[in-house]
Amino acid sequence: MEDQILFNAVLVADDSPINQIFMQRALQKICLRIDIAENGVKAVELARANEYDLILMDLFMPEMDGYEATEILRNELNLTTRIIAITAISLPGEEQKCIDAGMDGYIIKPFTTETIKQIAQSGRAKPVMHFESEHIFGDDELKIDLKILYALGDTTPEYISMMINVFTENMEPTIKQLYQLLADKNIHELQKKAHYAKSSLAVIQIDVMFNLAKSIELDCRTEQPVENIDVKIKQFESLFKRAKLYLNTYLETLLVQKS
Amino acid sequence: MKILIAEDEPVMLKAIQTRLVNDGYEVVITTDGREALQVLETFQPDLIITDILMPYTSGLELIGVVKSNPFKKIPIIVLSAFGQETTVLEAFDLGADDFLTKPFNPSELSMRVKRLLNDVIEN
Repeated sequence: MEDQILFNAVLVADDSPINQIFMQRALQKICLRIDIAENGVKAVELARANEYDLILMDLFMPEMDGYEATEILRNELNLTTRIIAITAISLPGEEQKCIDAGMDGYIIKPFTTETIKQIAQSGRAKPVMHFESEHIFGDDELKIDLKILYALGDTTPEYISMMINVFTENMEPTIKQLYQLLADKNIHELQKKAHYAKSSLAVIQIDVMFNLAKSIELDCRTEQPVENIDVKIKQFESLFKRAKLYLNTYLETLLVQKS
Repeated sequence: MKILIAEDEPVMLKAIQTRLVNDGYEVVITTDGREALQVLETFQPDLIITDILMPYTSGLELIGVVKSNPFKKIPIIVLSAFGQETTVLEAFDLGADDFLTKPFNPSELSMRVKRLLNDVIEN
């Protein structure tokens, strides 16, 4: 299907150059003009001078953050333009904080062009995931649950971050080994390695990865075609990369709260 | 009370260690069955927690060795996973006392450890 122009002008406020490039790419087919602001001050300036159909606002930016910029846009400039927060993590209370500041919703990084299209078409942000605990985060496809980690007894930020680091540092070589064993057609060892990967996913609970590892293990046992297993390892790796982004953001939040 | 853990996966190993240290036990950790057997030559735990699939010496071999030694009737909890039911039965045949399926709730681990250790004292 041909992409339609959905917006005349969109303002993106984000301080990260990578995100700026990503947003431009994601938006260029569906909007005529994209303006980029590298902080909240610049976003307010641009919104004062131009008319936009949509404003995508990163929450954490230097000089002026997304909350403050939104408050100015709403209360001083009296703008009614839809403002959608871009956030790296879903934390409890964050949605309310965004709404209190005057935003219309939020989307969680990393997101796809499809997500932006959905916002454009439905006029609403993707429904925000509601998690029952602050130790559960992620998105609707990738839920990370740290409840078991916290139930071990040591809830200090030092301990939690140590465990998360052990998890990511150990998972990286594990994934490499999964690929290597598959390349070597060593299915017996591959089955064991997939089984091994499940152990840490039972502590840092990421069900979608746990189930994928289980499925790889089963495929090895039932001698499924190598190509099928390869696809699953790739999925597993891509989920891990996304999980790592969430975990890193969680760690940053932990350390901020501590200081 | 002293507990020996044999588990090759570092996150799971640290998780169990933390919980048991927090519960007040003296904990010695090993990362495979062979290392566990070496430790057992000089260290006498009150309880052993072991994974099944480990390099060098598996959990089953470890259970076999420990339970065949009349001087070391140490209670053993086996860590298993879904799909390992037959292996768990094998572990029971060899003399394992209890099992926990991953993922498990840390409180359940504490409770099972406590129960087995109380049994030991009563007998």
